[in-house]
Formats: sequence, structure tokens, C-alpha cells
Amino acid sequence: MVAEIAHSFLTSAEELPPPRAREEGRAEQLSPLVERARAGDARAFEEIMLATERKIVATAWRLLGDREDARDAAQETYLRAYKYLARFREGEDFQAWLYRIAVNVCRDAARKRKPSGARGEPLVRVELEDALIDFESTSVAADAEEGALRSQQRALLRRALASLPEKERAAIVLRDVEGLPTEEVARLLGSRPVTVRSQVSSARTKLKDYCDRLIGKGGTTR
Amino acid sequence: MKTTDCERARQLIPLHFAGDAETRRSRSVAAHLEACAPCRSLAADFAASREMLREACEPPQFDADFYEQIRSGVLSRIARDDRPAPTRRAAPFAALFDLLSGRRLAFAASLALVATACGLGYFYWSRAPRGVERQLARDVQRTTGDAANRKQDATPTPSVTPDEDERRAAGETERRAPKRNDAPRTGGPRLKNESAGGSFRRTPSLPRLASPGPARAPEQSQTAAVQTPKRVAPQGVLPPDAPASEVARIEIQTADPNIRIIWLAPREVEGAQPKR
Repeated sequence: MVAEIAHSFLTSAEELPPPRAREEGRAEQLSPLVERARAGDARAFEEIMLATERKIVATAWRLLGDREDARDAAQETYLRAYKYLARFREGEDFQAWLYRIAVNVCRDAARKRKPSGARGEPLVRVELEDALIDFESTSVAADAEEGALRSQQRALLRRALASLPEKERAAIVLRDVEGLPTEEVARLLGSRPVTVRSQVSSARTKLKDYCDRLIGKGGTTR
Repeated sequence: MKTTDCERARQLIPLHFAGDAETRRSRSVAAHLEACAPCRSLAADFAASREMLREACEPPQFDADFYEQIRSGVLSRIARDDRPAPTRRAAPFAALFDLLSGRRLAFAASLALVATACGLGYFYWSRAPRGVERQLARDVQRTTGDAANRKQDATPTPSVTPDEDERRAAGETERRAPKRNDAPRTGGPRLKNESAGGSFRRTPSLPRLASPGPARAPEQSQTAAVQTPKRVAPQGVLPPDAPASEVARIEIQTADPNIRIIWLAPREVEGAQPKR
């Protein structure tokens, strides 16, 4: 089952160029845009948003778990970037700088909003939408019921992720989903690597237990 | 023992399977996993759950309108707030401003403050001791001068006889005199050195030698005067036929073991003229 899910994931990913190549290409294109934006060119800043918005929105969505929250966080990210654009040092990676701003914005938003368990309906509505999208995009699974079950499991797993403490959720998303090294995660979160390891270990254990119950609940044995 | 190893491995497997455990611990866990099937299964479960998490966190495909909303919102906020375009500062100041932004600025400011405080403290400290040093120097000088004066007053410098041989002869003569007359040695106590420097103090009981009187015996004419280092004429010379009982003999040992002052003070004899 895991292999099938991974295969479907890889298949859908092959339609787009590799993320790393896309990012490297965009990084080279961003340097002149950043210079023009720092000089006061609003059009250049818009081009910067066009080049980076998918990555920023995806990160915000993973950290916050909500479509609307992700949109608000992305807007705030670009507003902060525009405000502090003069502080951006030449030669530094602009996307990494923008990414750090997005993580900080999402952390602030996560602290302000209520715990995910109390959100109730909006979270359920998002889960259903995601389940439908996943179901429609699945082209490999022959059994529709299998695809629906898989979508449901993903939604439930996202719900479990949202129920984690804010620090553990941020740590595991940045480490396991975004793929950042532990030291980078510690720097983004303003803590130490040993603290990040502890938070990641705890989050992985909780999600693993949830997945075990999920799989057992679905009747699928490994 | 095996249970303990499994317990330890279960604590480290959540980090080990993703390469987050420390090298030393990771090696021990890897060795244990090779031999323990249940722990190996547990590590596989962790890897599978992480893979599920990654799949679950794959963002949905938001439509173009969603992104357009974001861009328009940002641009309208910028225009509404009338935020000035981020202007680049002059090249020399821009680098300095970038260097001293945020925490660096606070750090630099605190460092400058500490340096200023240290500089002011050193300035006042370096000024104050000079006055104290001057005062100390004056005190030392005064003390040294007083000590020198006291020393000068208290230290009766031995006089040197005009002739060393004569003095020696006088010393021998004086030493012989008490034996011939079997007279007890009189005079003041024999003063020893009181300090390492060899200076001796004149006791108040030691009278000054009398001025030169009538001619005395040649062997007694060379007695040492004890007041100044200058060569003085022997004083207090007794008549040659003066009996020993009429001589007060005072021996003074200086710091120099080779120098001894022998002072013969004539006793007041009935009918004799008082000496000055």
C-alpha cells in the first residue's frame, strides 16, 4: 500500500520539472528583480511574488493546515518582505530569506489562532475538499474505494498533525516535510538542535501511533 | 539484557531511522537492529508513517484566482498604506546600516557604551592616583628627612684620631691602665650595636668629652672624641700622674668591628679645676 501511494506520488510529480531545478532557475532570475525592487520598482516586486508564491503558500498551508490561513500568511509574508527589503543583503539567498519570513509569520499566526481541535467545521470542510481533490487526481489506483480510503487517511493524518503542539508541528513539518536539516530548523525556530530533535522525536512517535491506529482502523494490515 | 537493549533502541529509533541520532548512538542502534526483528519492524513503521505524512502534506493545487488574490491584496495594501519604496542608502552608509541592523546594532551600541564607561573610569583613575602619589612622595620625603635628621642627631659619629697608630697606642695604653692600678673599670656601659646598620646611639648618660685642658700624658693625649666625624683634638687629657681611680673609662663599639671608641672621662677630683 505504501509503495502504491509512493508510486502515485512520484507519478504526479513527474509532470513538473524537479523542484530543485525550478528553484535554482528562479534564484538566478530573482537577483535582478530583487535589485529593481529595492530600487523602488513595484512591477519587479510583483514578479518576485509570481516566482515564489507557490512555495510560500505550500509552506504556509503545511504549517497552518488551512487554506484561508495560508493565504493570509502568504500576504503578510510579502508585506513584511517589501517592508524590510532594504535590509536584504546582496549575495544572500533571497528565497531562503523569504522562507524564513514565511516561517515566522506562520508561527505568529499559529500562536494567535485557537487550537485546531476547537476549529471544528472549517477544518472538516477543508479535509473534505482535499479528499475530493486527492480522489480526482489519483489516476493509478484501480479501485476507487481504495483511492477514497487513501484520501481519507491523508486527511485524518493532517488532522492529527494539526492537533500536535505548535512547536512539535512546526519542527516535524520543517524537518520531515520540507526536508530541512536539523540545524536549519533550529535556526528558523529560534531554538537549539537538541531541542528540535526532541520535538521531532516526540511528534514522529505520536504520528506513528496514530498511523498504526489509522491503518488498523481501515482494516489494512502490513 | 536484551529487554534493556530493546528499550534503549525504541527510544532512539524515532531519530535513528531518519538519520537524526548522534553518530555513536546511531551505530549502537544499527547494531541492535541487525539482531532484533521486532525493533527492525518498529523502525520500518516509523519510516512508513513519515512517508504517509509527506504524502498527506502535499499541498492542494490552488487555482490561479487564489494566487491572484494574494498578489492583489499585497499590492493594494502597499498602495493604500503609501509605503515608500525601499530606497537604497548611499553605498558607504548602506553597508554600515546593514552591518548594524537589529541585534548587531544593539550589540554595537552596548559595546560602545561599555568602552566609553571603561575609558572614563580609566581617565579618572589615572588622574586621582597622581595626586595621591604626590602626597605619598611628600610624606615619604618628609619622613625620610625626619629620619635622617633623627639619625644624624642620634648617631654620634665616631671621630677619627689624627693618626691611626696613635689611636691604637692610646687604646693599648688605656687598656693597660686599669691593670696597673687594679682599679675597677668605670665608666658607662659598653654600648653595642643596636641595629644592623651598625649605628649606635648615644645614651644621655654619656657626657661630652671635655675641652682640651692642660697637657697630659702623651699616651693619653690621643683619646678619641666622640662627637663628629671630623678630626678633633683629643680632649679631656688627664695629667700624666693622674691615678687610675680618677679616670672614667667608656668604651663604645661601633658597627664596624674594627672601630671602637674608648672614652676616658676624668673624674672630678677634690680641689681640681672643673673642666669644660
